[in-house]
Amino acid sequence: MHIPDGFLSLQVCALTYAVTALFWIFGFRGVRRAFDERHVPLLSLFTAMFFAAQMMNYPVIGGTTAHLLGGPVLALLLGPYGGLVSMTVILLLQALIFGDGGLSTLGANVLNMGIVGVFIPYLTFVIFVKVTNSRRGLYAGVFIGSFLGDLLAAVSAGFQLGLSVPVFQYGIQLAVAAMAIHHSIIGIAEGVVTSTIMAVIAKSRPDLLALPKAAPSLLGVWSYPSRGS
Amino acid sequence: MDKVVVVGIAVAALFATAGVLWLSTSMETLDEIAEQLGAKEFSLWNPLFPDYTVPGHEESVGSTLVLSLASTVMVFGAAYLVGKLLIAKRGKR
Repeated sequence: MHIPDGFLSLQVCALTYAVTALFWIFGFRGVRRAFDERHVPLLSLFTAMFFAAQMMNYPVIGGTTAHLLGGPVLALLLGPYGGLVSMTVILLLQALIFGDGGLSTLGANVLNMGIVGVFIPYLTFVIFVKVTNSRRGLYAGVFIGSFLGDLLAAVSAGFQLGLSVPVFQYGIQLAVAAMAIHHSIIGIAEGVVTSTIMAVIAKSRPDLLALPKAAPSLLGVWSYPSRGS
Repeated sequence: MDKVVVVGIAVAALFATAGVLWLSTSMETLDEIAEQLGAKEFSLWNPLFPDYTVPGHEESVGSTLVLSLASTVMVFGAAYLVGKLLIAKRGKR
């Protein structure tokens, strides 16, 4: 899903940078307020883990491949602002050192994977936990949120490509459809992986789930439900 | 927390190894439609290790594996630094 230099028009690059810059201002400020010493190893660990996970390319449809994003796990553990900071580190280093994703398109890539791919899952978890107040509801939210996060991140990338005519000549409908169909499959895998990681952490280190989250007050903070179902 | 970090780094190393040895073929949807359209990507920047390979050793699985593991550790260090800088800034306020 990493958009390289040359695929987006100048206007789309500028617009996506502007939107992302706004989130960066609030995101870094939010992390600075919410995080303490306990968060630093977790931030580093999950950033490294999902950098590595993005190297694994899974076959999807018609000989194409897709990779996990990692945004849902980052959002769950660190809050959406923490996830944004983590994903920004990943995408910046991938672009600078490995040429995976462009520099002119960094704003778009962060918008897709670090904002849409992080905030949508987080919002879904919060809604599910608040409505159901049960662990079963939380896991349903984790799976659905992870799926939606990947799907909407791909749709967002499709829109950016479709709006970049004549640089990218497919138009919005085709670009969005192609990206959405292919990435909905990896969205299911993302849901399974996120639920599994969540279950392992809840069983072995539930204290990590109780750490303060860096999240906008509008979205609120979720907490692990005490009820099993 | 130390134990979590050790286990997590081991999992990350496993991901990187699987990415190099078994799941390395990359043909993303984006690449496919770009290929069909004849759209050309260009780079504003010359990356040190293009496509996660060591220049001159593109076919060497060993060098790609070492690079992947080293870069995972480097990303851990970079995120650690960012985290430390952010909480240090808070302390100064």
